[in-house]
Amino acid sequence: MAEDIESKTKRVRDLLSSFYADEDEHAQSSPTLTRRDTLQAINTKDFDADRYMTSLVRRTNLDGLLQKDVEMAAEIKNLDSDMQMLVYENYNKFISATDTIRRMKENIGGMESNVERLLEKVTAVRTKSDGVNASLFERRERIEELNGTRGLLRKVQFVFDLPVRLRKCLKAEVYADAVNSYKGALPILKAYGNTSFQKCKQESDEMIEKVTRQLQSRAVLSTETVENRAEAVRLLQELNYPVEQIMEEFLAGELERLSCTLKEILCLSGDGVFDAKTENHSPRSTIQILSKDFFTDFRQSASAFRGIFPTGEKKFTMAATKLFNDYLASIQKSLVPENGDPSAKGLITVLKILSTDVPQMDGVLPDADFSELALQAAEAALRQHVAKRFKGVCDKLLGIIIVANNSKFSESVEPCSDTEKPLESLLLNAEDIILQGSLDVLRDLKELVDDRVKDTTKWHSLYVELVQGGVQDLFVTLNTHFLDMFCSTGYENPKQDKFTEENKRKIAVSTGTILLLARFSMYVEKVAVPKITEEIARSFVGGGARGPEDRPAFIPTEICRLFRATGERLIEHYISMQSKRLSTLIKKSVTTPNWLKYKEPREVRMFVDLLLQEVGTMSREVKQLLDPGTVRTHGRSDSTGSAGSSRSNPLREERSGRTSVSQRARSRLLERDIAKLFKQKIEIFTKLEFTQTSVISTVIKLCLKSFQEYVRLETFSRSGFQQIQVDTQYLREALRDFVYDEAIVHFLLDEVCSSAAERCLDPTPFESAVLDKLIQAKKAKIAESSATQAF
Amino acid sequence: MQGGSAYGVKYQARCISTVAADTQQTVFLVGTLSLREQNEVHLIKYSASTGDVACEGLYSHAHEIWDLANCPFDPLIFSTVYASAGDFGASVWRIPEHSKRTNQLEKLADLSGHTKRIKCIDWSPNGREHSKLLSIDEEALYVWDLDVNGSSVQVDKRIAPGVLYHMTKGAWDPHDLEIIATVSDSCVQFWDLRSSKQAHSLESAHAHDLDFDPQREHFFATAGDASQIHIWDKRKLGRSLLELPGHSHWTWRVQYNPKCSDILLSSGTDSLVNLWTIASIHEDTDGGRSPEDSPKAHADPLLRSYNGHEDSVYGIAWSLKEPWIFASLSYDGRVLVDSVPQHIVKQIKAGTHGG
Repeated sequence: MAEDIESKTKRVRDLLSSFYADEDEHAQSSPTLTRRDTLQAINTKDFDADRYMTSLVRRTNLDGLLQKDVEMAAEIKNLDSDMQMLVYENYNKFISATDTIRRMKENIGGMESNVERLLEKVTAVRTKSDGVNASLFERRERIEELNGTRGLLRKVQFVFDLPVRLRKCLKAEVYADAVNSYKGALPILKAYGNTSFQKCKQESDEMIEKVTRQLQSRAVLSTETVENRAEAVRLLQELNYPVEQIMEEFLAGELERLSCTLKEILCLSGDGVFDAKTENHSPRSTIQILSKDFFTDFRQSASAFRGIFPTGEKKFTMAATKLFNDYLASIQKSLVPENGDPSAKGLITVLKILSTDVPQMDGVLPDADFSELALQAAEAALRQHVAKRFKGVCDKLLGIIIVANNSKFSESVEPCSDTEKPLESLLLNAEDIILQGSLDVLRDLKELVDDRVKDTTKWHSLYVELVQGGVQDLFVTLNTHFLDMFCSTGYENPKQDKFTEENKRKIAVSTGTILLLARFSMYVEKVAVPKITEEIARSFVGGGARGPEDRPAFIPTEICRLFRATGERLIEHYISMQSKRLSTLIKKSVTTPNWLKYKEPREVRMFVDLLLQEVGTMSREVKQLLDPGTVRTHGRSDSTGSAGSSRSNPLREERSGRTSVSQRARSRLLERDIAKLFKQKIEIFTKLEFTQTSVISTVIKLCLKSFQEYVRLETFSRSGFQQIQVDTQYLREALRDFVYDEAIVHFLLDEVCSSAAERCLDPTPFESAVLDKLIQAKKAKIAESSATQAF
Repeated sequence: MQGGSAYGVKYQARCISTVAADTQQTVFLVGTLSLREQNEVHLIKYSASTGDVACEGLYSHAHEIWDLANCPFDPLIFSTVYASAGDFGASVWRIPEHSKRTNQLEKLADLSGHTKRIKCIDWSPNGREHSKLLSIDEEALYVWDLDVNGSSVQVDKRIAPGVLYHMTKGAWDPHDLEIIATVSDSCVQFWDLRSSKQAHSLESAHAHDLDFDPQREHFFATAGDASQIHIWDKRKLGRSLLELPGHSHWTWRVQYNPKCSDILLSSGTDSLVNLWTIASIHEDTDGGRSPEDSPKAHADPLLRSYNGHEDSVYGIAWSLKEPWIFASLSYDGRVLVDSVPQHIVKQIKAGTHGG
């Protein structure tokens, strides 16, 4: 049954909805339907019943009609029941709606009375409240007034109580309360202090004065705990008390205390000279200890200060920076003993201190950039150290040179014997200094590299550069100095303008010194530089982080080249100095006598002795300093040209071709040339070597050549010529001792003799017997005088 | 022209001089120095076309000739300084006409009055008939007025610096004819003829010879027994502008090329004749050259060394006609005429045209 009802209601709903909704659809589709199939369009509006009937009748047979009829009757029945149902439904709904409306009507009627009652009550409340308000209005102002007065009175009471309270606080040392109270009362006291509360103000001011004093003393007192002091300072600050003053006092005190430590360090450096001699380790370790002390003190002070004066950071940083700078300065000073070489150990210690302790300081005072300062200081110390070490070597060498120069003068006053070899010892000394000194320095500096202090890795390349540059500088300085000395002996001082400073203290440089320098230059080039290069290569590699514009680091080849050039110049200069000296002697001997009125020669002239003495001195000098060199005689293979009395420098000869000599001229010269052809060919101007032989014989060759030239400028009588003959004959034997190559002496002296003969009006030579007699007489005389000297 | 030509004088000789007044040909005068023989003056001509040196005239001279100088305006006139066996003197000579076929020189004047041995004579560069001569003895310098036509000579000035200075050489400044330079043992002095006073001096310069730059004022060169050659600026005597190594022994003579001041010729007792370039100093002083040229300045200043001689070379003379030709005379009497190498001449010419 239930299903039946349900399906029924559903059907009803469908119908209703089709009734209301489909109307439009049917209206639209109806025209086409009518036309096409009227039979089908029974549900449309335009359904024509008659036409439907006729068409139905026409098309359908009887059975069909009957069936249709049945169908239709059923449909009609259905439709009827549906309609009935719909009507019923509609009615139901209408009924319920009516019921609802009626109920609503009843409810509203009950509410109205309630609302009216409410209104009444509200009106009553209002009137009552109005009444209360009106009655209270008068009193209210008065109460508020009274309330204010009460507060005021309380405050006044507080102010009046202030001195008492402060006193209490003072007694109980509760300064914070005192300050708070005072600060609370302060506006009133300020406003009425001069009038109503005068006494009160005075009293409380006094009290607060006392409090301030107490606080002050507490703040300054170093025995108080940091917290107490900090509180005191804070309170003082609240009281507008000038805290800066206390701060400064505090700082000054701290500074003084720390400076004491610094002074100790300084003292230590002053005493370091003595200490270093007695016990080597103590001063350094003391520095270490002192530095440690200093740093701990400093840290303490810093933290104390921080605690006490949290606002004074800036000032403190300033003071600390100053202090630290002082510290660095004194540390640096302590590194430099007044004499003697600073050693790397001290430097290492200090660098360690700087690299380990200073970062701690950084922790205390990050603003001050101490590590930056320390880095700078350390770098400066490094530079200073390296420079100092090299300067030490350089100074020693220059000292040697000066000694050499001075000793030379004394030597010329009292001719020393062969056994004394001052120059040789000086040379050895100098060689030792340059080599050992430099190597020592390098080793010493090496310690620093080996002993890798924390930050030295950063400095490593810098340091290597410094060291290399130092070596380079050392050599360059030496070289310049040598050249300066060379210039100061140059006969025209061609660099006068440039080296005015040098000229002020210009010293006459002796020949020995020049030779010493020449030899020394050679030594530097041959031995010292390679060894030092080796040492550097072993210990100081790297350091290539230099810009190209900077000074080049140690370049051994350049140094070698420099010193070779300098050595050659110096030795040439030595030769020219010596030969000039000897030439002057010869010149005097040749130009002063009046050869035309010369008397018959009786003995060898004095100048020969002088000449030999000079040659002797020179040869001693040379023998002390130079290698002996090879002994060689001039053979045919040595000479480069054809017959010649004086051949040219073989170097120069290469540049020019032989000039062709015409046959005619040759025939005229033939006679003289043939005579020369039979003489041994002699190379006068040979290439110079750094040997005794080469140097001595070059000097002698040059001066004998000068002898010849001077002789050519004179005109001799027979006696004059004979005198020259005697002199040269004596020289022949005497010079043999000095020159290893006799032939050249013979040749040159022959040239002198023949020149004299050419310039002689009557060139009759002495007979050899007479000549021999004179020579023997001279020899005997020399032997005698040397014998008397010996005894 | 690369090879030199030679000419032999019989005797030893020290002096050679260019006949400056002869503009047609290159002629040199050589005076011999023979103590015991009759001395000669050779007039030799260099022919540029054949490269031969030939004797044009041979004249006898009684004494040893220690110095010989040519008159700047008359090719036939020259002066000699002579000395032999204690006798000394200086004379002005005229070479006889070729047609006379004589070997006797005509003496125009004697420069008498010297008390010491005369060292050298220098003719005032711009003289005419009334020429001025400078003669130097060891202790004094004389300036003479010479009238060539009237054959008269008079002392115009005598300046004696003192016994201490042994003067050896003197020269007129070609740019200021009132200035004379003298070279003595220890110094070079400059004399102002107007005031007869010393104008400048260059102390401690041991010089044998001095030559003024013919082209550029103030510059001069000295050579001495310290063997170096120095170039100086008269205004800055404090230090030399340039130092050349010179010779292995003494440098005896130094002479500027008459046409090109960058070329210097020197001779020395090491029997060499050296040719130098000193272009570097002029580059510096002119300041006009660009720095790219400066490497040249550091090149070897020695252009060429002529080693044809076998004895000390005491005399050199540039030809005036052919500015790249020069003659040198060694003590053994050999005259060699050489030329500046062709490539150097080209370089110089290019340089002067370029600049």
